Amino acid sequence: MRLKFKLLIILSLLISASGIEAQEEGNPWNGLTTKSNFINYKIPGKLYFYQSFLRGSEFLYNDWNYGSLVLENGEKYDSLVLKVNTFLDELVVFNNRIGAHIQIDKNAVSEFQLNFKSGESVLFKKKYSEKIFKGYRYFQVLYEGKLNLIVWYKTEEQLTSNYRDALGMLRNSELLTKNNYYLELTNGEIIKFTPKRKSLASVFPENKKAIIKILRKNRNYLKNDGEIIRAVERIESEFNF
Amino acid sequence: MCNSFKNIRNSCLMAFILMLYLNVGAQDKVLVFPDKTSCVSGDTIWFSTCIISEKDNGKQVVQVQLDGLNNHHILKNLILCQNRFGEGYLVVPDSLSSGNYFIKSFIKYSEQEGLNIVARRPVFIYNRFDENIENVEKPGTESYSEFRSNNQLNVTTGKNSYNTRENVNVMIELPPELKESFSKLYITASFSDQRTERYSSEWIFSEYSGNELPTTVKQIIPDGVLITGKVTDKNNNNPVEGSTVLLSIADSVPYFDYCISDASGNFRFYLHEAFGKANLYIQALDDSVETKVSLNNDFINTKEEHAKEKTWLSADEKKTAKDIINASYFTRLFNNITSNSKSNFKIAKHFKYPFYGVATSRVYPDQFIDLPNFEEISRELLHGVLYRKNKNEVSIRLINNSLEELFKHEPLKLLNGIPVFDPEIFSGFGSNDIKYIDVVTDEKYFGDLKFNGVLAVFTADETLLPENTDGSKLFEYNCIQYPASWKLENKTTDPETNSPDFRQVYYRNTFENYTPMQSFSFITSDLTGKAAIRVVLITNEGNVYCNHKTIDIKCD
Repeated sequence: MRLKFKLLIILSLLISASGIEAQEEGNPWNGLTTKSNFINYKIPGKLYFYQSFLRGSEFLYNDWNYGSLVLENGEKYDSLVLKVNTFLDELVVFNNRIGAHIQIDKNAVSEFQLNFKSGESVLFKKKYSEKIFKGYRYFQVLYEGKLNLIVWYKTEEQLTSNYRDALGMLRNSELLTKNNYYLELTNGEIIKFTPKRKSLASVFPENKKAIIKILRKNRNYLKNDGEIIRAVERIESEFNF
Repeated sequence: MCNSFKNIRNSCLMAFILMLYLNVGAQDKVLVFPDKTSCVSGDTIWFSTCIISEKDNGKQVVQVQLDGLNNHHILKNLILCQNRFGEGYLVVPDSLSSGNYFIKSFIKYSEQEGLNIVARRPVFIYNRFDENIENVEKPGTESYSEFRSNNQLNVTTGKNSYNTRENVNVMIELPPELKESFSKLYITASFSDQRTERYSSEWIFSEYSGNELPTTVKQIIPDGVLITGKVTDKNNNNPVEGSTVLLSIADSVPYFDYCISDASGNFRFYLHEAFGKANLYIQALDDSVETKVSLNNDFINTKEEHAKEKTWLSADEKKTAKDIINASYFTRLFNNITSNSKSNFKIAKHFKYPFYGVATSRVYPDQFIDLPNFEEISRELLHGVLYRKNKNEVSIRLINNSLEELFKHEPLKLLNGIPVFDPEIFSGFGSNDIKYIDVVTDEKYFGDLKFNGVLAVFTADETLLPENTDGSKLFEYNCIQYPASWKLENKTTDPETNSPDFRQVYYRNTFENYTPMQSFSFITSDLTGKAAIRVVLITNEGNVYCNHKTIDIKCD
């Protein structure tokens, strides 16, 4: 009898847990305050779920940073807490009013900026290309002029020697982030290049030799972002675009 | 009408020349230049607007409202100005009684409080059924702004007296010293009601009163409409704080926004570049009370009341009044009066997708076998939608893609873009009733609102909306007036034609480039009396120069 009673209780608990809850009425967003009010178009998105236990990071910067966001309609939000997931190529915001990590709908974003504690900031813009990549991507803008130097950070899973992750599970792959450099020409065309003199010069076939000569003369090896920026500035000033 | 020509005097050549010099100060002003100083109820007053401001704000919405002498509000229009200038019209209500009124204009949204003032321009309106107007009340003259006379603009015509249906050539001479600072030149030519002609160069400036407007809104692009309203308790009319107020506009890409009401029950929404008459579905949700939602009319009051003076009309003035009323009547009788008011609502669509983003799946039921109700549709066609009927109680749950389990709460349900909270609302819909269904199986966010998935049903009958209640209501709201050019070119009239021509406005135009000698022509109508050619020049610094010339029109 006691066993039957216990089974009955367990069964009723299971039914109540799995069953459909009664329809809620009234205000499903009860509890929000006027702090949730913004005159701007609201930031749309979905709950951010992705979490990797692989070695490396899916984020461009591991820390949350304050930043600003410009929507497609030109409206701006300041003082957002942001992270860039370069594995998904998505922007994540921490909404502290409701305590949720939200992956912002890329369709609604025009550009965003991350401001670091050091005072430096980086600007990202959403770009579209039909030829090189189909769809929208977030690019960090390294240089803006007649030519735009932009970089797309892409984190990928790559095979590596075996190791144990934070949960003690055996893994054979890790996350690695690569910098993919692009030049946006005055006609809006986006062309990929690798940080080598020949590759950069190939973006401008008509002036290829002259560009290589200039870069060689300036001893610019395109070893880092600073040198690539200087190279693009030089190309822009030397040639009429 | 011919009798009025007897009173023509040569001294009317230059009735008055005025220069209205407005110091560009800290206070922003909006000046309105109507095409007439008097009209008949039911007529349309066209006007141009100019913002006098220290900075060029690009796009800026100004409110132009028609008021009685004592802040009695009649109608308002929102005009979108580009680089300080805009054009629009007011359709004067048919029922207005004869008397003096004010066209008030002001900047709708300002970044700082107390910087804007209201400019008022008097206009006289005759009721179309008034047959014998003996006297009128007019605002006391003491409140008018003082102007300094100036001879800067020279208006000349070939002669001073013209016949009906005769071509009038006009030459406007602009001073060379204004060449560099020239910004805009407005020219109107219309039949002149001499009693009110002085209104064309008179202004009254005053401050706002009350807390209604201007609305101090920061960090917005001032090219839209701010909609404000209040949530109250249906039972005792007390303001309701913390109610979630939803604004929805049914569309193929539905518009949605929310606001939480403050301690006074107030809420506000901002619609960017919204033109025409909008159907706004506003819902005030609250768990504790039955809500009632209302919208503010957003008229503005000005501080001082006007001292009124009663004046008696002379015989000539009575006759002119009768002529104007008759002219308006005959114009309506012989011409097809088409309404200028384009009412279709249009809002700038900056976002390709609805507020809930890209749907996980979009299903067109008519592409499948005919299904009789929504239960069947959800079972057969909607992946990830669990529709259950248990003891006549319906519940809908969506699958949460990320967790691969059912959401514990109802999804956001939309009927043609309007949120609905009764799961049974879709029950009767069969395949033939539904155009398409969007299903979103993610935990979605829009600002601080969380949705446990979204189920959006768009019906074949696009006009289908949820029932109105006190807390959920459909409002008609006039957003920004559609941009309309006030340009009225010269009309060619066949002198031999038998159809009457009672046009009161002959010419309206705007010139954006400086020309030392600006010439134009117009043809007079069958109205006899006086016609006024009015010229307004605005400089880049915000200085306004006015001039005016009166000619006689008589029967040949």
